[in-house]
Amino acid sequence: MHGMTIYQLEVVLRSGRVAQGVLLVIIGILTVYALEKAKRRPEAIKVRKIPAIDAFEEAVGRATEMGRPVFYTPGMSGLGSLTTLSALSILDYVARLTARYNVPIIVANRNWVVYQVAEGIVKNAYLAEGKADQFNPEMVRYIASWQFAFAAGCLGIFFRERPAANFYMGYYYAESLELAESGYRIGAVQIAGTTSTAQLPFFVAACDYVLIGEELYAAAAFLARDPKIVGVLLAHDLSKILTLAIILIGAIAITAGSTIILDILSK
Amino acid sequence: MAISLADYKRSIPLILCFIFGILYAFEWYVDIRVGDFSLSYYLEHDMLNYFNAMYSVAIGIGAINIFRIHYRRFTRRRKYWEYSLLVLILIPVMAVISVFGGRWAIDPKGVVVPRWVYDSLAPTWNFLYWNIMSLISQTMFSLLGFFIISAGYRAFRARNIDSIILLISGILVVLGQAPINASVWPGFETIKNWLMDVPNVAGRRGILLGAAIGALAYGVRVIFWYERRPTLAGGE
Repeated sequence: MHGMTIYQLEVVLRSGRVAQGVLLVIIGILTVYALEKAKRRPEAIKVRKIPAIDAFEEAVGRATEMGRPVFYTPGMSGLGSLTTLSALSILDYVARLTARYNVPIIVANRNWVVYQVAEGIVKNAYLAEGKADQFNPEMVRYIASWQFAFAAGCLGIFFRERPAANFYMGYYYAESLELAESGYRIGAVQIAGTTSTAQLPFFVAACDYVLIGEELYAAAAFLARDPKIVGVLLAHDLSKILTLAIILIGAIAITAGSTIILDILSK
Repeated sequence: MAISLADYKRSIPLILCFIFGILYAFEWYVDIRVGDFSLSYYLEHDMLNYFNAMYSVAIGIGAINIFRIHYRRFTRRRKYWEYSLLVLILIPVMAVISVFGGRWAIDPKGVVVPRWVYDSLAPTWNFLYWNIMSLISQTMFSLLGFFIISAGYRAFRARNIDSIILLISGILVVLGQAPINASVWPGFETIKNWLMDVPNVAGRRGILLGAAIGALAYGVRVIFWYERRPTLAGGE
């Protein structure tokens, strides 16, 4: 008779991440609560106006009047980045606007997987607006994966095709200022949105409107024009209140000589 | 009731998002081990290898897009078609040279491909990579210096109280950063350090904190199917 090995099932909590996990569950519950609340009572969600979001339609309208294309890029990161996913959500809105106004859109991509999703989003947007025949595969372009080759490709598009409205959404590195400054030189209305704190000053200096940090995620929710999704903005605020309360209590505790909050958070 | 292909196209990405979203979030906090098997190790190594393999294959679709666009531009003799012709020639040339003679050539020791192929292509690859591509990249990067000056000029114009504060802070940081600052007045460095370490860090942390919470809420939306646009599963 052969011997039989009996394996034991072990469930191991990974040390130093327990408090993180509890906070994640709390924020997750707050998010689902806010989304459900917005679904039942959408009028209960009051949204503060963000000038950059209001400028989206204005920028596309300007491109229509000038008979020039709209340029959009979802940033430098891949699909693993939530900033990129958020930029793709916003692309859906911008592509619907360009389809509605009959103005061509150019979507430049650095990542080949993002390029494929972006193409699907633009195609769906044209389909949703009843303009499937106007979708052109040349609208969504894979430029290059090398950072400065991508920047050079975008600059080439700027000076050859002269877009009238440029959207830079997503995560950026050093090429941010090259894009934004060149866009300024061709006289385009520019709207940027990024969570990269190192690149925000460059966008602020060179663009007309900027979505700063969490405003990018807020814009993705707001531009869905779906009350269910807009409810997530309430979840942002509730989570921020929770985080600030922990920071405040922690600061008071440390000042009073207690490390209790620090000890709980490092568990 | 018959389920159409469109239904599958809509629901499969959503189901995959849910399963992998929950699984990867779960394994960050909890590991499940049975004998030699570790869930965390499997997801962080073996599973990621599958993703990386799929990711690498997808580059072909990007290359097809480049060829399609530039081929049309060339054959229809659109404006600047000459550049498209260059792209159409140079991409395959560089690809072949890189595969057989580049730093990561498939067979540099000559096991399958004759050794002379690598030996004759390697100098060409070195020339194209280090004497052309690398220099062009460095040129693009160095252009940033000029862009910073022109953007800084516009940003530092004193139009209102905010821009006056920005202008004064900017001048103090530049003076504090300049090599000559110590001989002019040592206090510039102290002021620069304070500006960089206190108001600058406070602002950055505030933005990062908001962005992290926004990302978390966005992730929850994607996993629980409230946000469907990036999965191409329709907005409704």
